[in-house]
Amino acid sequence: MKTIMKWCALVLLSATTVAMAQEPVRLVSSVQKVETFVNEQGEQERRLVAAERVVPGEELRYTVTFANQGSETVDAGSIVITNPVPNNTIYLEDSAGGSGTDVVFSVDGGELWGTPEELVITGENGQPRVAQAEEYTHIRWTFRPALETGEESSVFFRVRLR
Amino acid sequence: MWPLAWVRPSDSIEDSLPTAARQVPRPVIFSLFARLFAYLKSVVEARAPAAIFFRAWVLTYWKQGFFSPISRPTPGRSRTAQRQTVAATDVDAHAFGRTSVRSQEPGKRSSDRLPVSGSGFSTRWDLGHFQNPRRTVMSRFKRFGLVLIAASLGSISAQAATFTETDTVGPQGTQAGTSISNQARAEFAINGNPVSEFSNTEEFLVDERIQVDVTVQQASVQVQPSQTQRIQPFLITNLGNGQETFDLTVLPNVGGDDFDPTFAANNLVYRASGASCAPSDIAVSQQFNTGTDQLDLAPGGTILICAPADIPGAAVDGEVGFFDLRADSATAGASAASPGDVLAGVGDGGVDAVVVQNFGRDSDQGVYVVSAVDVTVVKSIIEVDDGFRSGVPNTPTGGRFIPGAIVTYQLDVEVDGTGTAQNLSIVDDIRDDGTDVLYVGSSVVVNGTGRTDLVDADIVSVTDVTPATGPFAGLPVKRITVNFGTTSGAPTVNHEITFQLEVQ
Repeated sequence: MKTIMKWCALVLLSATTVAMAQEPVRLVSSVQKVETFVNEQGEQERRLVAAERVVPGEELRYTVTFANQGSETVDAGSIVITNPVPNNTIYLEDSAGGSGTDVVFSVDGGELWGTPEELVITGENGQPRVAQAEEYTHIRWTFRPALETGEESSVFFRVRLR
Repeated sequence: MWPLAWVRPSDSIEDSLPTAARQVPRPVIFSLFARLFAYLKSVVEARAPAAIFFRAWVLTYWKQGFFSPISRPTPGRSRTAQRQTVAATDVDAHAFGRTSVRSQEPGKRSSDRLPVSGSGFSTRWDLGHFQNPRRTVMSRFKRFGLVLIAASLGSISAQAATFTETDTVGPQGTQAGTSISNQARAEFAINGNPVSEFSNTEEFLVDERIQVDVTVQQASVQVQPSQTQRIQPFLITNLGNGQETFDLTVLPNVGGDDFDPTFAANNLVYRASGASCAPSDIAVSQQFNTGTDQLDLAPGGTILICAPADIPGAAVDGEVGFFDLRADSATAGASAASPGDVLAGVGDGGVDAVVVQNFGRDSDQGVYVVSAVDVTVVKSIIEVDDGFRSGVPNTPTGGRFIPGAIVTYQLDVEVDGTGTAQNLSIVDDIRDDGTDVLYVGSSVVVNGTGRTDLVDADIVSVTDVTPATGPFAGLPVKRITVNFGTTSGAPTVNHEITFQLEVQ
């Protein structure tokens, strides 16, 4: 039995090493809650708070940061980040962005991609119509510049919890 | 109310895993596995933060060969290890597959379920489970199991009933306790060589919103004095996103009204058996005792409650009586909450609960309106014509009651009040045995319009009847019937009926 454990440990250790070697870009997803509050001037303002005490109807902002922690430059235009619209949430129109990125969406689980005007689905009456933001299933960003060693950038989008 | 969550069959350990851990492609599983190993390794080497507690556990078991499938925990190990063991066995207790879990104190018999053969390791990988309040309660359950069982038996003897929803208005947003997870994927190239990577899986649990709606289903109920069990229907809806228990309270003494409707002892209300409240719903089988019974409603679940009240006999037309029916969340702390207050750890599955309404409750008012109606009839002789004089009797111009004189009677009918007189008809019997008087045929005039005596569509009929009772019992009479039909007293209605008799 001890032999098997050691063998397993060896496999796991080597897997870890391989994984480390394959991750020159560090990709981190984080979420915050968008809270509306009334400031001292009595005006409504929005702020980002920790995603705690989230109940249906509330707005969330997801951020995906990517950093080149390897020793080589990542090719310009090669970074494509794909994020599904999280379960039980709906994507909020025009909320996806990120500096130096082009954004496209999918309404079919990531098969076909397009800008909001290009995404057409068949409506209830059988006629094609432009898809609503709440029908998006995936978001995809293409980062145009190269990412030099040590550089970091991020993309973001907002959703509402159903 | 979180205790309901852990008896739900679907609530398994797997549910609390990030979705991605179940669905990710194989390379990701390798990657996760690799990370797990790295983490365990760092724990053993005491590199990872907040791992001291866990490290003690891992080391203890590692030394004892716990991770070997055939080993078993032995008495006399450290207290820390004991506590972790309890948490680990929750996997079994959770599914209620085994009730043999007893005290884990040193020296006593421990459960044989601890090493879940080779999979024992994998059930322990998620440290987050150790902070799950559900598990803490399960541990307590085992420790004080007998006490809890005794307590629950006690509550059964109180015969408190729980009423569940009979209909639903649909989901109220994402169910409390649902895990919302996100994982991004990146594809890129270095020197033309394609690489693919996943981000961490970001996860949070949806908290519970406590919100209830009570809506009276009838703007007002028209009643008459002394009526009993007049029903006001109320619809109770759980507008929260979690399973929630509510208490119901009847408040008959609200202000601003003229009388207080009275309810049976314990302020009994009833569950409707259909889509509306029927008198047959006021039955023991439908009874809800507001003092002891509770509602337990799924998100969006509704139940129709029939509240029957008695109307005091002293109430008069136009008076109103109010009462409130209130539903209060039974979740601990909700009764003292303000809108937006957070109740930590008491939501479904141990998530936090956010209270939407003041005191976690809602109420609506039932209104009873007394709608009595008065019908008065005043009979008078307005003219006597004796062939010499014609006018009001006993005046200089009035005729005398001599044989052959024609006497004109008038009935003034008044219908007054907010209520409605159903099928109002005025009946006058004229003695018809050849003595005293004789009815003058077709002399009935209603509101200035002459009427025939025939029994027809016309509102007047004159028939030959021998009444069994009354002043003319057993004597033949001419019965004058004027049928006004259903007549509302608002506004006040007046009718004028005249007819003629000949003095014999």
